[in-house]
Amino acid sequence: MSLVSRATDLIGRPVVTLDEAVDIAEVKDVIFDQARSDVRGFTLRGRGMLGSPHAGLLPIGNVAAIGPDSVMIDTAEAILERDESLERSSEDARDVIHDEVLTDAGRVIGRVVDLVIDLDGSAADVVGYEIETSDGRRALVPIPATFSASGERIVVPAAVERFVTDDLTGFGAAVERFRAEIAAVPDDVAADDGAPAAEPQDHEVPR
Amino acid sequence: MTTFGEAIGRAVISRETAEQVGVVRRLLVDPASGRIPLLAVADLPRPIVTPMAAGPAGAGLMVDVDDGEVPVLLDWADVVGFGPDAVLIPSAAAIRPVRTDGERQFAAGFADLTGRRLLTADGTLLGQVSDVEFDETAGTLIGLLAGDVRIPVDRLVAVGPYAVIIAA
Repeated sequence: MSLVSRATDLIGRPVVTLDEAVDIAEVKDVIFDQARSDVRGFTLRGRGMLGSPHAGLLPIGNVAAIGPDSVMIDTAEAILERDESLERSSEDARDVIHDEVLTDAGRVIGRVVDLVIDLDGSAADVVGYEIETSDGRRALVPIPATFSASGERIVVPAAVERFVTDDLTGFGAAVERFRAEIAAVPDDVAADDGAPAAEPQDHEVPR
Repeated sequence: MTTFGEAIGRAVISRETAEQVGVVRRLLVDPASGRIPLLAVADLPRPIVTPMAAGPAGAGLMVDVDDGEVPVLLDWADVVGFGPDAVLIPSAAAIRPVRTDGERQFAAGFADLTGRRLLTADGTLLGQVSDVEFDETAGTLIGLLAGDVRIPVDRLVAVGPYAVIIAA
Protein backbone atom coordinates (compact mmCIF):
# COMPACT_ATOMS: atom_id res chain seq x y z
CA MET A 1 0.00 0.00 0.00
CA SER A 2 1.42 3.35 -0.89
CA LEU A 3 1.29 6.37 1.35
CA VAL A 4 1.66 10.03 0.45
CA SER A 5 3.60 12.20 2.86
CA ARG A 6 5.22 15.61 3.00
CA ALA A 7 9.03 15.45 3.11
CA THR A 8 9.05 17.57 6.26
CA ASP A 9 6.72 15.05 7.94
CA LEU A 10 9.53 12.48 7.67
CA ILE A 11 11.86 14.69 9.67
CA GLY A 12 12.20 13.45 13.23
CA ARG A 13 10.80 10.02 12.35
CA PRO A 14 12.72 7.33 14.30
CA VAL A 15 15.01 4.93 12.44
CA VAL A 16 14.49 1.50 14.04
CA THR A 17 16.56 -1.67 13.56
CA LEU A 18 14.64 -4.86 12.79
CA ASP A 19 17.18 -7.13 14.51
CA GLU A 20 17.28 -5.41 17.90
CA ALA A 21 14.29 -3.04 17.86
CA VAL A 22 16.48 -0.07 18.80
CA ASP A 23 15.65 3.50 17.73
CA ILE A 24 19.19 4.12 16.60
CA ALA A 25 18.67 7.57 15.03
CA GLU A 26 16.04 9.82 13.49
CA VAL A 27 15.57 11.49 10.12
CA LYS A 28 17.25 14.88 9.98
CA ASP A 29 16.70 15.64 6.31
CA VAL A 30 15.46 13.99 3.13
CA ILE A 31 17.94 13.75 0.26
CA PHE A 32 16.30 13.66 -3.13
CA ASP A 33 17.43 13.50 -6.73
CA GLN A 34 15.81 16.34 -8.59
CA ALA A 35 16.53 14.92 -12.06
CA ARG A 36 14.99 11.52 -11.31
CA SER A 37 12.49 12.90 -8.79
CA ASP A 38 13.18 10.11 -6.34
CA VAL A 39 14.35 10.05 -2.75
CA ARG A 40 17.98 8.97 -2.53
CA GLY A 41 18.24 8.69 1.22
CA PHE A 42 18.25 10.50 4.51
CA THR A 43 20.68 12.37 6.67
CA LEU A 44 20.30 11.30 10.28
CA ARG A 45 20.70 12.77 13.72
CA GLY A 46 20.74 11.22 17.16
CA ARG A 47 17.56 10.70 19.17
CA GLY A 48 16.46 12.88 22.02
CA MET A 49 17.73 16.17 23.39
CA LEU A 50 21.22 14.81 23.92
CA GLY A 51 21.38 13.17 20.49
CA SER A 52 24.26 13.95 18.16
CA PRO A 53 23.38 16.40 15.36
CA HIS A 54 25.05 14.04 12.86
CA ALA A 55 24.37 10.34 13.03
CA GLY A 56 25.33 9.29 9.51
CA LEU A 57 23.63 8.76 6.17
CA LEU A 58 20.99 6.27 5.17
CA PRO A 59 20.87 5.48 1.42
CA ILE A 60 17.37 4.55 0.24
CA GLY A 61 18.69 1.16 -0.91
CA ASN A 62 19.51 0.30 2.71
CA VAL A 63 16.01 1.06 3.96
CA ALA A 64 13.79 -1.95 4.73
CA ALA A 65 10.56 0.08 4.95
CA ILE A 66 9.34 3.61 5.43
CA GLY A 67 6.22 3.51 7.53
CA PRO A 68 3.95 6.21 8.88
CA ASP A 69 5.62 5.96 12.29
CA SER A 70 9.16 4.68 11.72
CA VAL A 71 11.83 4.13 9.11
CA MET A 72 12.89 0.50 9.41
CA ILE A 73 16.39 -0.86 8.68
CA ASP A 74 17.66 -4.43 8.97
CA THR A 75 20.66 -3.69 11.19
CA ALA A 76 22.73 -0.73 12.35
CA GLU A 77 25.09 -1.53 9.44
CA ALA A 78 22.57 0.09 7.06
CA ILE A 79 23.75 3.49 8.26
CA LEU A 80 26.87 4.85 6.56
CA GLU A 81 29.37 7.23 8.04
CA ARG A 82 30.03 8.87 4.64
CA ASP A 83 28.81 8.58 1.06
CA GLU A 84 30.10 11.14 -1.40
CA SER A 85 27.37 10.93 -4.01
CA LEU A 86 24.69 11.08 -1.35
CA GLU A 87 26.32 14.08 0.28
CA ARG A 88 26.45 15.86 -3.09
CA SER A 89 22.76 15.16 -3.70
CA SER A 90 22.06 16.42 -0.21
CA GLU A 91 23.42 19.84 -1.16
CA ASP A 92 21.56 19.89 -4.51
CA ALA A 93 18.27 18.96 -2.91
CA ARG A 94 17.99 22.13 -0.86
CA ASP A 95 17.82 24.09 -4.09
CA VAL A 96 14.27 23.13 -4.96
CA ILE A 97 12.73 24.77 -1.90
CA HIS A 98 11.75 28.36 -2.84
CA ASP A 99 11.90 27.52 -6.57
CA GLU A 100 9.23 29.11 -8.71
CA VAL A 101 6.74 26.73 -10.30
CA LEU A 102 6.02 27.94 -13.85
CA THR A 103 3.60 26.31 -16.27
CA ASP A 104 4.57 25.90 -19.89
CA ALA A 105 1.69 28.28 -20.64
CA GLY A 106 3.79 30.92 -18.92
CA ARG A 107 2.00 31.32 -15.59
CA VAL A 108 3.74 31.19 -12.21
CA ILE A 109 1.52 29.19 -9.85
CA GLY A 110 3.63 29.57 -6.73
CA ARG A 111 6.86 28.74 -4.93
CA VAL A 112 7.93 25.36 -3.58
CA VAL A 113 7.72 25.06 0.21
CA ASP A 114 7.78 21.27 0.61
CA LEU A 115 8.04 18.05 -1.36
CA VAL A 116 5.31 15.45 -1.54
CA ILE A 117 6.65 11.90 -1.43
CA ASP A 118 4.90 8.69 -2.38
CA LEU A 119 6.08 5.94 -0.04
CA ASP A 120 5.62 2.37 -1.13
CA GLY A 121 7.44 -0.09 1.11
CA SER A 122 11.07 0.95 0.85
CA ALA A 123 10.61 2.98 -2.38
CA ALA A 124 10.08 6.73 -2.18
CA ASP A 125 9.35 8.97 -5.16
CA VAL A 126 8.77 12.67 -5.25
CA VAL A 127 5.33 13.01 -6.86
CA GLY A 128 4.59 16.63 -6.18
CA TYR A 129 5.37 19.88 -4.49
CA GLU A 130 3.62 21.83 -1.87
CA ILE A 131 3.62 25.42 -3.08
CA GLU A 132 2.74 28.75 -1.58
CA THR A 133 0.79 30.87 -4.02
CA SER A 134 1.30 34.62 -4.39
CA ASP A 135 -1.67 35.24 -2.07
CA GLY A 136 -0.12 33.05 0.63
CA ARG A 137 -2.26 29.92 0.18
CA ARG A 138 -0.79 26.43 0.34
CA ALA A 139 -1.57 23.98 -2.45
CA LEU A 140 -0.29 20.61 -3.67
CA VAL A 141 0.94 20.34 -7.26
CA PRO A 142 1.52 16.98 -8.93
CA ILE A 143 4.68 16.80 -10.99
CA PRO A 144 5.27 14.70 -14.09
CA ALA A 145 7.67 11.78 -13.87
CA THR A 146 10.11 13.97 -15.84
CA PHE A 147 10.22 17.76 -15.98
CA SER A 148 12.78 20.51 -16.31
CA ALA A 149 14.30 22.40 -13.43
CA SER A 150 16.97 25.09 -13.46
CA GLY A 151 17.70 25.54 -9.80
CA GLU A 152 15.55 28.69 -9.77
CA ARG A 153 12.39 27.44 -11.36
CA ILE A 154 10.58 24.29 -12.34
CA VAL A 155 8.59 24.15 -15.57
CA VAL A 156 5.52 21.92 -15.51
CA PRO A 157 2.83 21.27 -18.14
CA ALA A 158 -0.07 23.74 -17.96
CA ALA A 159 -2.43 20.77 -17.56
CA VAL A 160 -1.16 20.46 -13.99
CA GLU A 161 -3.34 23.37 -12.89
CA ARG A 162 -6.48 21.24 -13.08
CA PHE A 163 -4.95 18.71 -10.65
CA VAL A 164 -3.79 21.15 -8.00
CA THR A 165 -5.43 20.28 -4.67
CA ASP A 166 -5.14 21.04 -1.00
CA ASP A 167 -6.02 17.49 0.03
CA LEU A 168 -3.00 15.32 0.83
CA THR A 169 -5.18 12.21 1.23
CA GLY A 170 -6.48 12.41 -2.33
CA PHE A 171 -3.18 13.60 -3.74
CA GLY A 172 -1.86 10.19 -4.79
CA ALA A 173 -4.92 9.72 -7.03
CA ALA A 174 -4.54 13.25 -8.45
CA VAL A 175 -0.93 12.48 -9.40
CA GLU A 176 -1.98 9.26 -11.13
CA ARG A 177 -4.73 10.99 -13.12
CA PHE A 178 -2.40 13.83 -14.06
CA ARG A 179 0.37 11.49 -15.18
CA ALA A 180 -2.10 9.33 -17.12
CA GLU A 181 -3.44 12.40 -18.87
CA ILE A 182 -0.10 13.85 -19.93
CA ALA A 183 1.01 10.41 -21.08
CA ALA A 184 -2.14 9.96 -23.20
CA VAL A 185 -2.59 13.43 -24.69
CA PRO A 186 -0.04 15.57 -26.53
CA ASP A 187 0.96 18.63 -24.51
CA ASP A 188 -0.63 21.25 -26.78
CA VAL A 189 -4.03 19.52 -26.73
CA ALA A 190 -4.00 19.02 -22.96
CA ALA A 191 -3.14 22.67 -22.41
CA ASP A 192 -5.93 23.97 -24.71
CA ASP A 193 -8.62 21.55 -23.68
CA GLY A 194 -11.15 23.26 -21.41
CA ALA A 195 -13.29 20.14 -20.87
CA PRO A 196 -11.22 17.05 -20.11
CA ALA A 197 -12.85 13.65 -20.52
CA ALA A 198 -12.66 12.92 -16.80
CA GLU A 199 -12.89 16.08 -14.76
CA PRO A 200 -11.01 15.64 -11.47
CA GLN A 201 -13.26 16.02 -8.44
CA ASP A 202 -10.77 17.95 -6.39
CA HIS A 203 -10.41 20.58 -9.07
CA GLU A 204 -8.92 23.62 -7.46
CA VAL A 205 -6.71 26.27 -9.04
CA PRO A 206 -5.00 28.83 -6.89
CA ARG A 207 -5.24 32.34 -8.30
CA MET B 1 -3.00 -20.90 28.79
CA THR B 2 -2.78 -17.82 30.95
CA THR B 3 -1.39 -14.29 30.74
CA PHE B 4 1.36 -12.38 32.48
CA GLY B 5 -1.31 -10.11 33.94
CA GLU B 6 -2.96 -13.10 35.61
CA ALA B 7 0.29 -14.78 36.66
CA ILE B 8 1.82 -11.74 38.30
CA GLY B 9 1.01 -11.69 41.99
CA ARG B 10 0.51 -15.47 42.13
CA ALA B 11 1.91 -17.10 45.28
CA VAL B 12 5.22 -19.00 45.06
CA ILE B 13 5.09 -21.94 47.47
CA SER B 14 7.83 -24.32 48.63
CA ARG B 15 6.73 -27.94 48.21
CA GLU B 16 9.14 -28.96 50.93
CA THR B 17 7.76 -26.73 53.69
CA ALA B 18 4.37 -25.73 52.22
CA GLU B 19 5.31 -22.16 53.03
CA GLN B 20 4.89 -19.21 50.73
CA VAL B 21 8.28 -17.77 49.79
CA GLY B 22 7.06 -14.90 47.65
CA VAL B 23 4.92 -13.81 44.74
CA VAL B 24 5.55 -13.77 40.98
CA ARG B 25 6.66 -10.26 40.10
CA ARG B 26 7.61 -10.54 36.41
CA LEU B 27 8.33 -13.07 33.66
CA LEU B 28 11.15 -12.93 31.11
CA VAL B 29 10.53 -13.63 27.44
CA ASP B 30 13.29 -14.96 25.22
CA PRO B 31 12.09 -13.88 21.77
CA ALA B 32 14.57 -16.13 19.94
CA SER B 33 13.32 -19.37 21.50
CA GLY B 34 9.78 -18.26 22.37
CA ARG B 35 10.37 -19.52 25.92
CA ILE B 36 10.06 -18.02 29.37
CA PRO B 37 13.39 -18.91 30.97
CA LEU B 38 13.16 -16.86 34.15
CA LEU B 39 10.78 -15.37 36.68
CA ALA B 40 11.35 -12.57 39.12
CA VAL B 41 9.91 -13.32 42.54
CA ALA B 42 9.21 -10.66 45.10
CA ASP B 43 9.56 -11.39 48.77
CA LEU B 44 6.40 -11.32 50.79
CA PRO B 45 5.78 -8.03 52.53
CA ARG B 46 6.97 -8.43 56.08
CA PRO B 47 7.26 -6.06 58.99
CA ILE B 48 10.70 -4.83 59.98
CA VAL B 49 10.74 -4.14 63.67
CA THR B 50 13.51 -1.96 65.04
CA PRO B 51 13.84 -1.33 68.79
CA MET B 52 14.24 2.36 69.57
CA ALA B 53 16.47 3.70 72.29
CA ALA B 54 14.83 5.57 75.14
CA GLY B 55 14.18 9.21 74.24
CA PRO B 56 11.83 12.03 75.18
CA ALA B 57 8.93 9.97 73.80
CA GLY B 58 10.06 6.92 75.71
CA ALA B 59 11.44 3.61 74.52
CA GLY B 60 9.57 1.64 71.88
CA LEU B 61 9.57 -0.21 68.62
CA MET B 62 9.69 1.32 65.14
CA VAL B 63 7.71 -0.77 62.68
CA ASP B 64 8.34 -0.50 58.94
CA VAL B 65 7.25 -2.71 56.08
CA ASP B 66 9.63 -4.35 53.66
CA ASP B 67 7.32 -4.41 50.66
CA GLY B 68 9.33 -6.99 48.76
CA GLU B 69 10.65 -4.48 46.24
CA VAL B 70 13.94 -6.35 45.88
CA PRO B 71 13.12 -9.28 43.65
CA VAL B 72 15.03 -12.48 43.36
CA LEU B 73 15.02 -14.96 40.53
CA LEU B 74 13.53 -18.34 39.82
CA ASP B 75 14.61 -20.35 36.80
CA TRP B 76 11.66 -21.82 34.92
CA ALA B 77 13.47 -25.18 35.04
CA ASP B 78 12.97 -25.15 38.82
CA VAL B 79 9.21 -24.68 38.64
CA VAL B 80 7.44 -27.87 39.70
CA GLY B 81 3.91 -26.74 38.96
CA PHE B 82 2.38 -23.53 37.59
CA GLY B 83 -1.23 -23.66 38.62
CA PRO B 84 -4.14 -21.22 38.74
CA ASP B 85 -3.59 -20.53 42.44
CA ALA B 86 0.10 -21.02 43.06
CA VAL B 87 3.51 -21.69 41.60
CA LEU B 88 5.21 -24.65 43.29
CA ILE B 89 8.98 -24.90 43.69
CA PRO B 90 10.90 -27.79 45.29
CA SER B 91 12.19 -25.65 48.16
CA ALA B 92 13.07 -22.08 49.02
CA ALA B 93 16.61 -22.90 47.82
CA ALA B 94 15.35 -22.64 44.22
CA ILE B 95 15.14 -18.87 44.67
CA ARG B 96 18.47 -17.42 43.66
CA PRO B 97 20.08 -13.99 43.53
CA VAL B 98 20.69 -11.91 40.42
CA ARG B 99 23.97 -12.90 38.73
CA THR B 100 24.36 -10.87 35.55
CA ASP B 101 23.65 -7.35 34.32
CA GLY B 102 21.01 -8.76 32.00
CA GLU B 103 19.28 -10.40 34.96
CA ARG B 104 19.52 -7.18 36.95
CA GLN B 105 17.86 -5.27 34.10
CA PHE B 106 15.11 -7.87 33.93
CA ALA B 107 14.58 -7.79 37.68
CA ALA B 108 14.32 -4.00 37.55
CA GLY B 109 11.61 -4.19 34.88
CA PHE B 110 13.61 -3.03 31.85
CA ALA B 111 12.76 -6.19 29.93
CA ASP B 112 9.00 -6.02 30.51
CA LEU B 113 7.01 -6.35 27.30
CA THR B 114 3.83 -4.93 28.76
CA GLY B 115 3.54 -1.25 27.97
CA ARG B 116 6.08 -1.40 25.18
CA ARG B 117 5.35 0.05 21.72
CA LEU B 118 4.08 -2.42 19.16
CA LEU B 119 5.52 -1.66 15.74
CA THR B 120 5.12 -3.58 12.48
CA ALA B 121 8.17 -4.39 10.37
CA ASP B 122 6.92 -1.86 7.79
CA GLY B 123 7.05 0.95 10.32
CA THR B 124 3.44 1.31 11.49
CA LEU B 125 2.72 1.84 15.17
CA LEU B 126 -0.13 -0.45 16.30
CA GLY B 127 -0.28 0.61 19.93
CA GLN B 128 1.14 -0.90 23.09
CA VAL B 129 1.57 -4.43 24.32
CA SER B 130 -1.12 -4.80 26.97
CA ASP B 131 -0.43 -8.38 28.05
CA VAL B 132 1.38 -11.58 27.08
CA GLU B 133 -0.23 -15.01 26.65
CA PHE B 134 1.79 -18.07 27.59
CA ASP B 135 1.50 -21.79 28.14
CA GLU B 136 2.09 -22.27 31.85
CA THR B 137 2.78 -26.00 31.57
CA ALA B 138 5.43 -25.71 28.86
CA GLY B 139 6.78 -22.27 29.76
CA THR B 140 6.38 -21.08 26.20
CA LEU B 141 5.06 -17.89 24.68
CA ILE B 142 1.73 -18.06 22.80
CA GLY B 143 1.10 -14.50 21.76
CA LEU B 144 0.95 -10.83 22.56
CA LEU B 145 -2.16 -8.82 23.32
CA ALA B 146 -2.63 -5.21 22.31
CA GLY B 147 -6.06 -4.31 23.60
CA ASP B 148 -8.46 -6.60 21.74
CA VAL B 149 -5.89 -7.56 19.12
CA ARG B 150 -4.11 -10.89 19.58
CA ILE B 151 -0.75 -11.37 17.87
CA PRO B 152 0.51 -14.97 17.62
CA VAL B 153 4.12 -15.51 18.67
CA ASP B 154 5.20 -16.54 15.15
CA ARG B 155 4.73 -12.90 14.05
CA LEU B 156 7.33 -11.72 16.55
CA VAL B 157 10.38 -10.23 14.77
CA ALA B 158 12.34 -8.52 17.54
CA VAL B 159 12.07 -7.25 21.08
CA GLY B 160 14.16 -4.21 21.89
CA PRO B 161 14.34 -1.10 23.99
CA TYR B 162 12.31 0.98 21.53
CA ALA B 163 9.61 -1.46 20.54
CA VAL B 164 8.33 -4.95 20.03
CA ILE B 165 8.46 -5.49 16.27
CA ILE B 166 6.03 -7.88 14.60
CA ALA B 167 5.76 -9.03 10.98
CA ALA B 168 3.56 -6.70 8.92
